[in-house]
Amino acid sequence: MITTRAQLASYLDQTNLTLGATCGELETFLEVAVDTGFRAVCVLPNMTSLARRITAGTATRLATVVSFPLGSDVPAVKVAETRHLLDLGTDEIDVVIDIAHARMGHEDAISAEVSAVRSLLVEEQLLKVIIEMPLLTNEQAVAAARAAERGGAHIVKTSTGFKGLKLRGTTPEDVRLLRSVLRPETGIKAAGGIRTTEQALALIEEGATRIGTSSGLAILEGFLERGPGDHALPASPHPVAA
Amino acid sequence: MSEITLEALASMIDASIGGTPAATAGELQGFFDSLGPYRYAAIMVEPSQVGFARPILTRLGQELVTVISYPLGAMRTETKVVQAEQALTDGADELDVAMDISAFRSGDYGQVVDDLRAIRRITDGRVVKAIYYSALLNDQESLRAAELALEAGIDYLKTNPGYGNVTTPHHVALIKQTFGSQVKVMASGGVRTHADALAMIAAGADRIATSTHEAVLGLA
Repeated sequence: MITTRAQLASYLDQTNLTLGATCGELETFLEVAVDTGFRAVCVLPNMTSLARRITAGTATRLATVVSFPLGSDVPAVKVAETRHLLDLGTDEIDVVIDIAHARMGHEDAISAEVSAVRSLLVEEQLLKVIIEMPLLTNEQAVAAARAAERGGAHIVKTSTGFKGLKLRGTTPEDVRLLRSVLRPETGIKAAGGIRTTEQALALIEEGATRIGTSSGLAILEGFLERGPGDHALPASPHPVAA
Repeated sequence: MSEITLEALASMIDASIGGTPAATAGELQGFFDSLGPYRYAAIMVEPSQVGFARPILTRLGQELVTVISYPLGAMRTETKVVQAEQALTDGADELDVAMDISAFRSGDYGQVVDDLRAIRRITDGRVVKAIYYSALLNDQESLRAAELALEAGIDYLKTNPGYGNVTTPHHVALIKQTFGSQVKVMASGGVRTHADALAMIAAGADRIATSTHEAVLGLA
């Protein structure tokens, strides 16, 4: 049961994936995020060095994105990008699957590319796999999610949230669907169009163990205003997997 | 009234599939089948599609271009090099490489040049275009970006990656009037109709990128 801002913050990947953002803008974003106590920050690959410097020694984990937002790279390139980013000290990798494989039902190819990336991670590093549900039917999404899980995803992520594709936002139904087919120890990250406290709590209620949002501050602020005790939520599974 | 034949217009077009992202093999084949009798400047596919597209486009007599660090321009240089090498291995003839637009807007011009040079170094003799995001920049910034591309050894600019970043004829004219024949410009992003294409060519565009080639060429 989430009763405090800090508990809600522990579900949030505060995200800045803005096209063309400057180092100054990212520095400000990161410093505020670290002060606020989000679970993680999520930035673009060319900002990971900067983000590592600012998050070092704090409780805030550093996440970045691989083959983002289109996922249209062969596995060898996703592996290379992942290696480059892990070498910089990134804690969490959010990798986009080859979405065409999902649309064609090529589940083994999805498992294989996820497994290739997963094999680079050690210890407490986490792999989140973005299946891009807005571009898939429910059937395709279920197959892709299971394939990602077989490949070693710690967390299945619903969407890139990439604005350039005008994707629909992630809904509670999306999370419910994933929760119904994934193992209990597999985390679910909801991302894409999540702006309000109500949305975040509804997604967590359906089983989201992480929320990706660029509106983390507003989401926390909204929670304080309404007070604790309004939402009874299941305990978050296994801290590392979440 | 068009002042350019369809054959000439097609020869100035980098055509991409448009429509649903993450195209299936069937959708890609359908796109290749829709190209008609024309010889385009190049056919654009995403990096993971290059291997599939290569034999088909060879048979069709079309050049193949793919995109590096696309569309956000936010990959690390070392990754861009791997992605570019993979693309060349898979059979790409040309590369459109997105500038590190954050580094540019942060004033880290050394990084911008080093990053593009790293790609130029492995693409000897091939057409490489640098995407400089004109939709995000003012005139002065656009000209600076062009200078940096030249410094890196790239003399072909692509205005925008698409995905909502729109090119205006002014963007094109600015570069062509300042740099003349020293620089080529491909107008990309928001070029959807025949009229759009003609306006870009009138402004001096050397090529057009479009995901609606049928509309631009007036095909079925």
